Amino acid sequence: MKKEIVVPIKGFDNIKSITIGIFPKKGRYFREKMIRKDGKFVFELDVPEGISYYHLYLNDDFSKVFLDINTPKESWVPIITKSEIFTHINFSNNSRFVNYIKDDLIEIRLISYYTWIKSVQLVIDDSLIFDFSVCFEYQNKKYWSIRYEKGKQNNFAIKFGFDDRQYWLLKNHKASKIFDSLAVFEFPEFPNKKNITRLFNTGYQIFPDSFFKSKYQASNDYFVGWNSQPDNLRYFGGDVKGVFEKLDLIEKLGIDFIYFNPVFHGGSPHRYDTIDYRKIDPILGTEEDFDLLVKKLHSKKIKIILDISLNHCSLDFFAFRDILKYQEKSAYKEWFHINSFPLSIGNVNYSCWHGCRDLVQFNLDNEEVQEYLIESAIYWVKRFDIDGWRIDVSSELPDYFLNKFFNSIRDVKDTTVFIGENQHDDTESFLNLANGDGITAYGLYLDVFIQHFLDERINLIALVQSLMEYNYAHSFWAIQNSWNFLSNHDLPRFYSILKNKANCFLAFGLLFAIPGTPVLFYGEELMKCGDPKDTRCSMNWDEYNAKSSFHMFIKDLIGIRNNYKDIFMYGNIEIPFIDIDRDLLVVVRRFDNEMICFIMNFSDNPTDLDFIAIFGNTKLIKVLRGNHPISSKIINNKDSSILHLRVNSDFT
Amino acid sequence: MRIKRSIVHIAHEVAPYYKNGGLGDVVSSLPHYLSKKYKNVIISFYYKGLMNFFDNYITDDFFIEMQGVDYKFNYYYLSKNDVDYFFLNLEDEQVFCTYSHNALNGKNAYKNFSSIAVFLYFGKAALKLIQLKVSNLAFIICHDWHAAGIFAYPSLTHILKMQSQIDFRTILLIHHYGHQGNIYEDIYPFLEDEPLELIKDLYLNYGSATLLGLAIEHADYLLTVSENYAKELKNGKLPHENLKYILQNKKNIIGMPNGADYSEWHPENSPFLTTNYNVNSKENKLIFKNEIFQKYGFDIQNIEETPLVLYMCRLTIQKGINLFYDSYDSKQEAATDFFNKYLKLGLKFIIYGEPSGGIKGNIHKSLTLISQKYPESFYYNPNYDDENAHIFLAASDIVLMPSLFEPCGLVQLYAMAFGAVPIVNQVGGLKDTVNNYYEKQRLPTGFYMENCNRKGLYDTTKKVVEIYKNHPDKWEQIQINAMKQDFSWNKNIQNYFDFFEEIEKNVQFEWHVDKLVNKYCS
Repeated sequence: MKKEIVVPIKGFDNIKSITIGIFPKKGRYFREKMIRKDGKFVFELDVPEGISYYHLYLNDDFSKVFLDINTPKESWVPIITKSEIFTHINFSNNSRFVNYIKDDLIEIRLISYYTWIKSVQLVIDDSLIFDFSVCFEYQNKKYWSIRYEKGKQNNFAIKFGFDDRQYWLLKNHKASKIFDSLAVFEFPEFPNKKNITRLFNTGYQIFPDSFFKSKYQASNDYFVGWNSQPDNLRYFGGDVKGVFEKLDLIEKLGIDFIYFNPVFHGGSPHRYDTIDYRKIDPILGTEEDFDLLVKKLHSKKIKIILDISLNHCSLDFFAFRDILKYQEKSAYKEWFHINSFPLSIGNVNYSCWHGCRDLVQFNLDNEEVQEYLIESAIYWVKRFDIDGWRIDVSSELPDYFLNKFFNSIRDVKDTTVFIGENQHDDTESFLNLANGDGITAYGLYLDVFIQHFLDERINLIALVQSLMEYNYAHSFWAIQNSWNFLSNHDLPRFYSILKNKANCFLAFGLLFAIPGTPVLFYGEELMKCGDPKDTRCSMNWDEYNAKSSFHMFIKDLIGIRNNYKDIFMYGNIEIPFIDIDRDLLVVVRRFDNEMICFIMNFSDNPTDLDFIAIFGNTKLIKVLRGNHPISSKIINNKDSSILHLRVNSDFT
Repeated sequence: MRIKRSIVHIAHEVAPYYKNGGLGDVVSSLPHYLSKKYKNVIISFYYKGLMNFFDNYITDDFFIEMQGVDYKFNYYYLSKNDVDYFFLNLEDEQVFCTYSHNALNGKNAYKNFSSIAVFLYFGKAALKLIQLKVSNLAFIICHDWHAAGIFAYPSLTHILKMQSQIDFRTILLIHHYGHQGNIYEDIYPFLEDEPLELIKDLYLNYGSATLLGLAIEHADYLLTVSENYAKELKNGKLPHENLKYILQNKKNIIGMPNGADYSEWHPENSPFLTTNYNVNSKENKLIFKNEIFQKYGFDIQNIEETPLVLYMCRLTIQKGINLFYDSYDSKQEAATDFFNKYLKLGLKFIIYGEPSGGIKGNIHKSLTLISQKYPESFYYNPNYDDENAHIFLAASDIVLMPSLFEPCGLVQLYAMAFGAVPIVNQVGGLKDTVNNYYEKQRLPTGFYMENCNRKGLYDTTKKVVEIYKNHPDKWEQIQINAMKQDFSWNKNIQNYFDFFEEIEKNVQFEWHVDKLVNKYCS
């Protein structure tokens, strides 16, 4: 999509040039000089449909980022080339709306945009007609879904309307009063079961340098004190043995996978500047240490996900060093994008990540590079039985390469999971083109959690609407496999920036209630850890209190997800009740007749809920958290009551 | 008696019923003044729950088909001061509120809330309503991009012409080129065939599509709200996106200055002034100046020799806030230095308007700091209301309007009427309406900034203050000239009548768009 960016500079005499840095939805970040004309700088760019980002540099000073000439800020301006749809029914016969949930059970979802549409029906044939149900309704919009056990029939049709105004939905997004061949949709082919077997429940992210320094770690000049401020240059000295030592504590949370930020030999504490893709960083320990750790994890049924930077490596990576040494004669000169020889780090005459000279970008079209990276990953899978990979900056990598990378590894271990880092809310290319499993859910973080809990820009009902929009924008499995988070190593810690700290329980409660795979960032279970600048702060073990109310809460949430796996894996989401005056929200996850119900009280006062009115046709099996909704009725302020319910078959 | 022919205005907002900004005011006053010679009909959105002063209306409905579904549209009709109002809503009352109201208020920064289809359907319904309710149609005036849906259904326009047997003309009146209603390709599957064809053509020709672009491409005539803004659009000298719609198709744009509503915004008629005055009793300004000096604790020695300077607008880059100081410098002390320089000229400074970034932003913080540091000379208030605005205008000697661009501008018109001399950047409507002291061909009514930069604004202000202090006779003459200017709708509406007359003369016979426009604009 073509988009013109205009930066007016009248009145800013000191601005002689502007460079725009563009972070497209798909493809690598790039910079271009904007064109000066008539009191403004102009740049016309071509970005894919969706969300891309840009920022500006003034007067060739690349040390300071601007959002506009008035706003210096290390951040991005979204370029949104995506429309808000408005139609009668938004439905397409693809994985965004139609999915196999379990065996022959198919879920069909759609959105209607007019309040007069009061019913939507799934029509298989004259005798098989089923009603869609409304998961949530706000203003003119309704979010519908239906689950249907697919039989022999391969076709279906959708009928919508009210009373005598009944229409068939057509494939071309139009509608007709008369049945038409365009109204016939075909059920999708039964997929292979990859998503279902790969699904995880709850994860825990460890930034290895900051997690725990074991007593075996030799003291070293370049280690800073464990409690000092992280500066991304000096090491705390966390190590593999340290993780091994603390594993029991983490295991008790009930998580079923750990995601490690890079552990390969790297040039800095974050280790995204990989020096050797086939070696544990010596500061972290040895291969043997790592082997023991993985074995211990697997013995506890905890999977391990590694972080791999396929886009860029360190200046000390062997191939790049070889070019520095042999220049044009180097056998590796095609491994990178070298603009001119002699190659020199000082001149930065090579392609590097987002202008960062320490991170050299691979030429991923080169087959030797592809082979090297694939073989590196296979080495880890074969030797250590790694269960999955988090692909750094996946939106910047070509899909065909990712596809090849994933397939090659799955040939070795077919259950391997691939999660792509993606800041553009784009599951489509990573799942459909590259054949990955899920992404890091920045869309959820930015559009839902940040908007409500940090910027306080949207109220409770708009929060839920944003949540439903997010859920209906991606396929069921994309959502389920994607990682939902409130903090990670690139974001400020959620608690440190949370506006009203009392909302902490609710935010995490919601994170664990909604579809997706929640991933805790190390230290989050302590609630408070580090100030906004200290995202990668060292873990505060002195204050690690597994008995704190928040720690127990997180443990409960994970426990509930583990005890009712099917509901959280296959269940849908419904919002049976919301009251913005009383700040009360009920989120239900449901599979078959079983429900887990989160009654969330966002207000400052304890409140009650007319349980019978909302759940009249259900039977309360167990109170999982909070008070008994029938006997005591009280729901604590800024907290959730969580219930296990069963739909009463007498009423259905 | 000759039956009046009709002008239909299609607009997103009309004061006082629903108003977001200046557009609503113009859509309210323009038809009123046009009704001397034409029957005026306004078709606008009905925003359930958001309408003001809305009573004594009649409602009815009609159906139109969209994407194969018959939709009912309700309309609310009322007639006031000779102008007919129709407010359209979908039977589904939430839709317009949700999509178009939210779109205009930018509810969510990460989402694109403009749903183009809604504006297209509104246009389609408006055409249907014209067919049902308007006779003797002469012109349809589309105000800004929100109303551009009427250009998406040429077949309906054609039917309208055939049925009424009148060859009416369509006009796009551009109030602000900065907002356009972007159209992206992902919406194609959800559009009706006719608009889709036109949008595809637009993409093909320009590489992008917006509703404003659609209107520019298909309107018979393009108007904008000042002659100079028209010129700037044609020269491509504005910081707006997609100027190519104008630059590439080389359509002419005619400047039609807005009028000021002197029934309220004039010291003689102001409902807020305790003592009304005019050019013959301008010494009464001192009453207000005294009042302000006392109220805000400015030192009141030599009050007559101390000019009171007013900067009143939304405090944004467009309005020139950055020409006072480096508003992106996070060190707020820097701002105090800049303003200190102004205060050293021996003046008192009032800044009045909503700051960009709100009360949490940099601008608010630094201005608050300055007003704390120099309470005896500097007053800042971020909460705008009309009453204060009138009193500030009456009390001020100098009004600053250093806008980077300004389609028409109203504050400079008010300033002159109230006897406050404007210092303006020579852009858009500011250049058209203020006569520079240093150019002798017109009676001076104000000052142009020498350069559009920080130094230019300061230097000009310095010179102006010197004239104020040392040459009271010259100053008085500028003031009198300014107060005698007439930018009323009563006067400016004549431009419209002349324009319509020219067109109608020609429409009767044969249609020569280019010839006519060239003739009119030469």
